[in-house]
Amino acid sequence: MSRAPRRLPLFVVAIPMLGLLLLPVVALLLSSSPADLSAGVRHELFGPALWLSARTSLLSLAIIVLAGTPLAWWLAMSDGRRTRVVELLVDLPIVLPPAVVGIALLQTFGRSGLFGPWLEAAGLQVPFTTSAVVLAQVVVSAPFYIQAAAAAFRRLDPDLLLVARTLGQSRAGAFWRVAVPMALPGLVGGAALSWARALGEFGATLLFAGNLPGTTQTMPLAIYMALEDDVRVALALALVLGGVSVALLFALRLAPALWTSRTLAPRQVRS
Amino acid sequence: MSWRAEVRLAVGELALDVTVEGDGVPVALIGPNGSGKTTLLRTIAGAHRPDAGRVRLQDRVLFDSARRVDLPPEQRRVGYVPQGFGLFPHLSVLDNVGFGLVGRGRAERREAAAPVLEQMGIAHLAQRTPGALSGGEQQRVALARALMVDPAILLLDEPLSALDASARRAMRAHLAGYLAERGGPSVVVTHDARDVFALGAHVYVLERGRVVQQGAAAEVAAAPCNDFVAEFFFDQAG
Repeated sequence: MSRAPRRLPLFVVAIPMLGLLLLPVVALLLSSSPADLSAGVRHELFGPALWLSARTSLLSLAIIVLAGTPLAWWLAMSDGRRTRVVELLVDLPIVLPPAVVGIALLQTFGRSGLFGPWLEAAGLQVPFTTSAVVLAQVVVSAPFYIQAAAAAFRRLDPDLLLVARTLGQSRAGAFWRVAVPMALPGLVGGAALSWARALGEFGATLLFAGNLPGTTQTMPLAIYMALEDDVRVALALALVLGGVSVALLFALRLAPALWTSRTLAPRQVRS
Repeated sequence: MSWRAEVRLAVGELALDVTVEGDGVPVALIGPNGSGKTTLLRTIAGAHRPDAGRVRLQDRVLFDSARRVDLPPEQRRVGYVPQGFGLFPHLSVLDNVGFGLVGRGRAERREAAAPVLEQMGIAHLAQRTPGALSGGEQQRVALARALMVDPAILLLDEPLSALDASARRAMRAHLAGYLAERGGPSVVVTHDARDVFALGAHVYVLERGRVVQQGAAAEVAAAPCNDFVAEFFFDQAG
């Protein structure tokens, strides 16, 4: 009797890439002892950077949601060439290297930039301030929210919006009472993705906002600075930032699934 | 005639150019897919702005290109039930039915919706979400919701096609009885001649955006103007 030839499980083809993706995370976890971690957390760079990152990224997120949702709604509800062009332009910051975004922001708000003279006359300085941190984060991370929100709005059945209108809702009423609740998993997912991106923003911030502790030094910049001084601090910062990001990822993947299974179960027509 | 819609409208591939009118007798729109039935229904509801035309409902003008009248859907008082019923999946049955009571608080909406659920025989479903309902139940909820706002016309897009055979029979009788009792204008898109006869409807046959035949169901069935109409009535009779 011949034995069936042994076949390698299909999983094998996934190993090289998975290894590359996960090994650095494992190494990061293994390389830091609890003592190192607590020393890092107590370091003078840590607190201000964490607080600044939290403040700026949440403010960025608020700006993105407030200004990005109307844009996403417009993208989802209109068609035609103009819309497609705008959609492409919205994606631009995703493909532009962050350093390029940083330079572009300097050319916009810097002293010799587009609005420079005007800002100077008003006595406002944007570059190398906390506002610059927020601006950099908004520009770099908004496309993630806008794309997710537009996709979520596009998935809505237009008939549901029409029904809401015939039942007496204004355009705004149909938006708030039908479109937003139904698209909420997509909106929350996009917001989480955007927030994660804002939290990790490095390149554009460094060029446009600089690296001033307490003012523009967010966690990624603090890691960069700490690396030259005390590697334990860099590791502690990296672990905390990594932990927040992983928590966000799980929230991102699990929350919409839970939400969907609770309220938006696929409609089964049983008779 | 209590209502009349003259609509000329180009959307995508479709060039709709029709005049349809009716009174208390239900109007049935029949025709092949892509002939413009749903587009006409949605235009009456206010989803599309015709390039030219006029839509009148009793003495109210909903749309008039010449006089630049174009009421938004929320001012038209139409009860629109789309294909698949269009229930809001994130709201309970009770909140779906009370949805149209704009400007009232949630408790008040629920209080007003409860007796309507009772009338439609769906009071036991009040707390369920639409995803947990059968097709026949969804149909009743959608109809109850549309009727809450006391519409001047009911627009039903294939109200029975999502149901299985036995539910369809029951629902057809229910719908016919209900529309007859209510007596107001209604427009029903259907692919089933049995619906047309059960409703005692006046038939409009659409083909590529035009009305190619109209009349009482029996007249149209007796003298079909094309293969589609002949098959439409033959299949069901046989």
